Amino acid sequence: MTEKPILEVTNLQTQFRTDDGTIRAVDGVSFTLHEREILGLVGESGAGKSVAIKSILGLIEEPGQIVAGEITYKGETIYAVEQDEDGIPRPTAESYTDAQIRKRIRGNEIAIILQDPMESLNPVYTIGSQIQDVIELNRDLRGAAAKSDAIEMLREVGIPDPETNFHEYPHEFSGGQRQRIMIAMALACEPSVIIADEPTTALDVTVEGQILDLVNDLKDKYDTSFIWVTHDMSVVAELCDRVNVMYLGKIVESAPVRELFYDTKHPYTQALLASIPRPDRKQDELQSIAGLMPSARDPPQGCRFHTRCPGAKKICQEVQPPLQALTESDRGENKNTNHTVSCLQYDSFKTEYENSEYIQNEANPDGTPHIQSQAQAQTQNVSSPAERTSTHIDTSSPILQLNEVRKEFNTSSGLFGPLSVSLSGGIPQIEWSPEVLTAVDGVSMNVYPGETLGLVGESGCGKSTLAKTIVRLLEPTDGSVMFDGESLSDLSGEPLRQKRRDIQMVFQDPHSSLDPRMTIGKIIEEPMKVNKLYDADTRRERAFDLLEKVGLNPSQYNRYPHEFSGGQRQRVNLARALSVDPKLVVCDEPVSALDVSVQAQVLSIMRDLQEEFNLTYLFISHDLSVIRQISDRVAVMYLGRIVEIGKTADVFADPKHPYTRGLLSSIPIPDPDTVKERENMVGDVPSPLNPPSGCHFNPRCTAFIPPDQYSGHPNWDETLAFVRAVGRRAFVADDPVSIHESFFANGLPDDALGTVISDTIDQLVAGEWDAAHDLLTDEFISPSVCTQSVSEYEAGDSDRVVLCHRYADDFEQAP
Amino acid sequence: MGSRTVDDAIDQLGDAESRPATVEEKNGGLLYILKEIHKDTSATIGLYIILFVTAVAVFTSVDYYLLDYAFAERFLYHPERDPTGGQRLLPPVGMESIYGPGVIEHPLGTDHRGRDILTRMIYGTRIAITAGFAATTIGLVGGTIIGAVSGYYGGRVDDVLQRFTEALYAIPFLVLIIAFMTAFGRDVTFAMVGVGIVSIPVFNRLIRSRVVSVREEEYIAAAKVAGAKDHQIILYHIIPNSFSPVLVQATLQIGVSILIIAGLSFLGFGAQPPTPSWGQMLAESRDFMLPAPMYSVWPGIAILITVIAFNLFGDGLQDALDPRTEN
Repeated sequence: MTEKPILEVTNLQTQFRTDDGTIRAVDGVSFTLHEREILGLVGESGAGKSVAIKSILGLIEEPGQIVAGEITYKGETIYAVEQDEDGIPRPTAESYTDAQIRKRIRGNEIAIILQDPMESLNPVYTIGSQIQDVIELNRDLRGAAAKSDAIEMLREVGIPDPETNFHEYPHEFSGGQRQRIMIAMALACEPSVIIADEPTTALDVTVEGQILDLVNDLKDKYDTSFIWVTHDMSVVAELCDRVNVMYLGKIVESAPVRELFYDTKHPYTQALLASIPRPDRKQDELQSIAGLMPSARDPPQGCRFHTRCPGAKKICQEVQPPLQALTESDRGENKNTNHTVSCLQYDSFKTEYENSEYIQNEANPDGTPHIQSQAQAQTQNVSSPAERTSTHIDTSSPILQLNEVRKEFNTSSGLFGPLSVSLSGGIPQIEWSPEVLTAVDGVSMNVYPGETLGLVGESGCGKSTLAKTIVRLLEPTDGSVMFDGESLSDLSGEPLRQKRRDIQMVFQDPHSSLDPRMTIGKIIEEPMKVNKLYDADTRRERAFDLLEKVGLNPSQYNRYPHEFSGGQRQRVNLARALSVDPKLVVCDEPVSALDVSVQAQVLSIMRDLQEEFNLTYLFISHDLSVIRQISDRVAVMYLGRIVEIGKTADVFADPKHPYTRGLLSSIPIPDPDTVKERENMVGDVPSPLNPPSGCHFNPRCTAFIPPDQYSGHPNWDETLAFVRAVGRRAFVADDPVSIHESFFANGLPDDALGTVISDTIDQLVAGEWDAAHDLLTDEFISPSVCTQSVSEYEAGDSDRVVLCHRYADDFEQAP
Repeated sequence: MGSRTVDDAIDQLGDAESRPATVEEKNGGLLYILKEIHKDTSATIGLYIILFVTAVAVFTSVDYYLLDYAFAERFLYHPERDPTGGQRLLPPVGMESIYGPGVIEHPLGTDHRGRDILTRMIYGTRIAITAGFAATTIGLVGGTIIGAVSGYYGGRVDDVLQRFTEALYAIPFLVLIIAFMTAFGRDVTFAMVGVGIVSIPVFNRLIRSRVVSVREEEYIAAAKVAGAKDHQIILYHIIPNSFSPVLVQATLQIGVSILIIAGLSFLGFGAQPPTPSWGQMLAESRDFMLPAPMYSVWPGIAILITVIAFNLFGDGLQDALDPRTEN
C-alpha cells in the first residue's frame, strides 16, 4: 500500500426521486482509495453502500441521480456535478459521458465483482468464452492470445484443470468456484481498482476463507486496489487496510483497520462491533443496537444516529456533525494516522456537546445517560447457555428421537426420466436407473426437552431437508422420527395433526415466510384457526399477547408484513410458531437473513421465550458464531450425516472430527490482530448425488488415514497432497523435475511408494491424467479404512459422538 | 407510473430491508389500486365508460324485468314492439336518404321495422354487459379452481386437469359454442355459459403458472406446518397471492366475451329477436347496408367503445397491480 491516491470521491450525493419522496441513498460521501489498498465499506443493509459504488461506475439509472459530487480517477475527473441556472444538477463538461465511462473505465480500469456468483455469470455461454470476451473487449488481444490469457487467469484463481474447464458452463461449478471465475474475469484486464460488492456473503465460511486468501495473494501480484463492500466486520478485519463505516448514506467513521477496531470512536461503530458474536468474546457480552435504522427517505435531523445513540444529547438533534479528523487530545496511541469521525463528541462542538442535555431515544428510553456503561445501556443481553445448561435439561427422556433417518430425492425428471438407453454395442440396452440424491443419509440423534440443539453445516449438507423431515413437510425415505415417545410415521389423520401441533417451525426468509396479503394478526392466528383452537375472541387476545411477548406492539395487529423490517418479521414468525403452544420449535436459519445488530435482538428474544414457555429448540444454522451463542449442544452435519455431536462448549473448545476442526478454524474473527491459521479444507463439498465412499469427508480430510502398509510413512503427507493435486489437475505437467521439486522437495524414498509416484509422474508427463489418477487412487486411497467404511465412536465423555475412524478404540495415533 | 419509479429505486437500492420503509406495496387494497388507475388517463377514461355502460345496463334491466318497458314507453319508445305507422329506415337527424329526412324524434334514425335505433341501442346494453360479466365469471371461477388445484398438487392431478383444458383449447371456440347451443337451446343464457366455458383455459393457464411459484414460498410451508388442510391453503394463501394477473385478464376477457356474444348474435345464436342486442342489430342491418348505411354503424360504435373501454381499464389495472410489467 502506498500513499498515492488512485480514486477520489468527494461529497457524492445520489438520490432517488419517487412519488413518495426523495430517497437520499448516498448523502455526501467522500473517500480516497490509495494504490494497492483494500478499502472496506461497511454498514448494515440500507446504509447506501451499493448505491455508492454503483455511482462510481456510472450504473445509477432512473429515477436515481447523482445530484452532487466529484469522482476523480488517477487525477482525472471522470464525473462531476454542477447546478445549471435552474438549479438542476447536471454533469459538468469535463465529465465522461456514459459511453466514455463504459469504454475507458468499466472493466479495464475499474472492475466489479458482484455478490451472487449464481447470477453474475451468463448461463448460456462457457466460462472461458465469457472471460475471453472481457479480454477482447478491453485489451488488444484477440483469438488464441486472449484464450491463452483467459486460461492462465483461471489457473491463477485456482480453477482446476483450466484447459478443460474453459469449455464448461457456469452451472457445472460450485458457488465458490464461480466466485473465483468472477475474480478471474475482474482481473483479466488488469484493472487498477476492483470493486467487490459483498462477494463472499453468499458463500460458506470455509469457501469464504479460501476466497479471502486468494484475494490477499492476488492483490500484491497485480498491484490492484480494492473497494470491499461488506456488512461483515470479520471480513474487514481480515482483509482491509482501511475502513469506512457507513450509516444512512453517510460515512460516520473512517480509520485504518487496527485503529477502527481498537480505538473505536463513533458510537455506531462501537455498537456495531459490540453486536458481533465472536469466539473470544464472553457469550453474555453480545449486544444489539437499540431500534431500527430510520428510512433514508426521511432521515433524522442533525446527527443521523441520534435516534439510536446511547450518548445522544439535545445538540445532536440540531447539528449535523461533519466528518473530520480527530484532534490530538481525542486520539489513542497512534497520533499520525488519518482517523476521521463524524460525531459531536470529537468535534469543534465538543464543549457544546458536553453542556447539552441527554435526550430520550431508543437507546435511552428514560433519558438518563449511560454513556459510561454503554454495554448495559444500549443492549439487551443474550444470556449464555453455559449458566443454564445443567438446570433445565432432562437427559433421561428425549423429546425427539431420530433413528437412522434417510431422505432421498429422485432427481430424474419426467415419466421416462429414469430410463437410460445405452446405444453402444449392438442391441440398445434400456435400463431403469433413477438418479437418487441422498440428502439425509442415516441420521440418528436425540433432542432433550428444554435444550437447544444447534445443527450446523455448510450449504447443501442436508440440514434443511432434515428439518423439513422432522416437521413432516417431507416424508422420510427410511428410519423413524419419534416424538414424545410416539413414532410420527405410524400416526395419521387426526392424531397426527394433534401431534404435529407440538412441533412448529420458524423459517429462514423473513420476506417469503409471511403471506403478504394477510395482516400479521391473522398470520399469528392462523395456526390456532386451522387447528380449531379457541374461539375468535380468545385467538385475538392470544395474538395480542404473543405480539407483546416477542417485542412488538399489539397495535400493529392490523398491519401487513411489508410494513415490517426483517427482524420484526422474524418476531412475527416466532409468534406464529408459539401460538399453538408447541413443545419443539425447529428453527431453520432464523437469523441468517438479518443484520448482525438485529440478529442479537432476535436471539435474545428466542432465549427469553424458551425459558418462559419451556421450549425445546432445534436450531439450524450455517453460522458457527450464532450456534455457539444459542446452543446447549451442537451437531455438525456434513453431506447428510452428523459427523460430530456434543456439548457446545466441548465441541468448540476441542473439536474432534477433522471436518469440525476445519470448520471452526474458518470462523472469521472480527479482530485484525488475530493471526488466522486456517486448516484449509481442499476443494468444495462434493455433490450429494454421488458422495464419496466410506467417510464422506475423506477427499477433503487432512487427517486421512493411510492404508496399513503406508501407516507412519514419512512421505505420507506429501503423497496425499500430490494425489489430490493430480485429482484436481491443479498444475502443469510438462517437466518431471519441476513436479518432483514442487511436491517432493526432499526426494522420493526408495520403496513401493516412491516407485508408484515415479510411475505416475511419467504418466502425467505423457498427458495421461486419468490413468495416473487411477493408479494413485488404487494404491493410496481405496485401501484406506476412510474410503471403505464409516462408523461412530464415542470420544471423551459419553455424550460426545464422532464419526471418524481416528477415534476407534484400537486406533492408536489419534491426533 | 409513479410507483414504477419507486420500484426501480428499490431495485437499485438493492436492500430488501429498506423496502418496507419506502414502498407502499401494491396489495394495499382497492383504494390504492383506484388511486394508481387515476394517475393513468386512458385507464380512467375506460373506467368511467365502464361505469356508465354498466349503469345503463342495470337501469335497462330494471325496466325490462320489473317495469316491463314502462319507462321506455313513457320517455322513449318500446324497444321491441313494432310501432304502428312508424317510418322505416329513417336516417339520423340532419341526414337525408331515399326513405326521407331524419327527424328529431328519432335522433339516430329507425330500423327496418320502424323502431327507434337509439332506444334499441340503449336497451341492447343489457345483453352485452350481462353476457360479458356472466361469461367471464364462469371462466374465471372455473379456470381459477382448476388452475389452482392443478398447480398446487402437481403430478398426476396436474397432468389430468391440464390435458382436459388443453382439449378445450384444441376445438375452435365458435364451433364448440355453436355445438353447445345446438344441444341445449338457442338461448342467450347458453351463449353466456358457452363463452364462459371456452374461456376457462385462459384463466387456468394464467393462474397455474403463478401458483407453481407461489406454492414454493415459505409461507405455504408455514401453513402446512401449522396444520392447515390443503383446501384452506389453496383458498387462503394460494389463490389470493396468484390472483392479480387473473383480475387483469378478467377485465380484458369481458371485452372479448362481449365481442363473441355479439358475433354469435350476428350469426343468429345469441339473443333472439325481438330482444334488442347489439350483435343482432348488426345482423339485421346487414340487409340494408346500401340504402341505410348508418343503421349498422351505431351498434358497431357501441361495441367498439365498450370493448375499448374494458381494454384500456385492463391495461391500467395491470400497471397498477404490477408496476414492473412495462418494459
